[in-house]
Amino acid sequence: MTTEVKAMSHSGHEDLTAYRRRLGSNRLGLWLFLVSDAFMFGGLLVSRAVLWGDTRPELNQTLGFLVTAILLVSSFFMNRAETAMAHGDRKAFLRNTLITLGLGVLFLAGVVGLEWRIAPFGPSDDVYGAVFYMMTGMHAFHVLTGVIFLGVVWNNGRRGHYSAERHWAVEAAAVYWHFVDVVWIFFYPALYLIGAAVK
Amino acid sequence: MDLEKLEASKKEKYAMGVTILILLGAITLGEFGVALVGNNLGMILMLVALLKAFFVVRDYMHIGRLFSGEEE
Repeated sequence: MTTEVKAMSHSGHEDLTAYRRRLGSNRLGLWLFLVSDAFMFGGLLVSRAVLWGDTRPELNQTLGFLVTAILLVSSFFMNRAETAMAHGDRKAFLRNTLITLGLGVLFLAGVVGLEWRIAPFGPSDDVYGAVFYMMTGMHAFHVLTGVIFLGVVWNNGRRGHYSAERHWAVEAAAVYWHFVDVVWIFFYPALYLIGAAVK
Repeated sequence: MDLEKLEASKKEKYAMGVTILILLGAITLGEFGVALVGNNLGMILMLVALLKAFFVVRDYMHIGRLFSGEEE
């Protein structure tokens, strides 16, 4: 009989001790993935610095500030959702996850639905378009995957798959969501604030 | 952990979340204000972003759990 099989209880559920031991490896795996992803976003920031220098395109400042605020607030609700689940409060977990998900959709609508439409350039017009659409597009793709991740976690939570002791998926979704927020923390000044507006 | 302690721990963590949100909001407003004042402040704005990221990584992403093996 293997160790893994021994770690299973009669009901088929993994033993809590084995689950906790595995949690360390899960966390390390997730963080390694995030670090590798951060290199890609770092590359985009470097291309912005090289290609735009001390300039930036004229973008809608109000919209940029609003979508940034939306993402920051979504991180707050995600933190509440995770805390709620860690304390066995499923109702609060579901409510806060749903709010986070909604704010994620609102962020996407603001950037992809609105900012892309009103931006005074296209993706293939010049370096401003190329960098702007690449950075916001890659980030929006991560927000979209985060929204899907949250949807899956919310649905599983609704069906009672998580408890205060076992909620790794909730923690992973939260860490991923906050990572997406961290990326925007750097992208916001790089796209909207740094440099002189030139067009 | 009894129910009372659990509830107290939850409230404490919720309060920490609010503190971080207020902090991030204030820094973002400051960032926006600084950008309106001058054009050659790229390095300062990136340092401010680094500070914001530090709070998110420490208090929302709980990077400490990676090293401490904390369960929650």
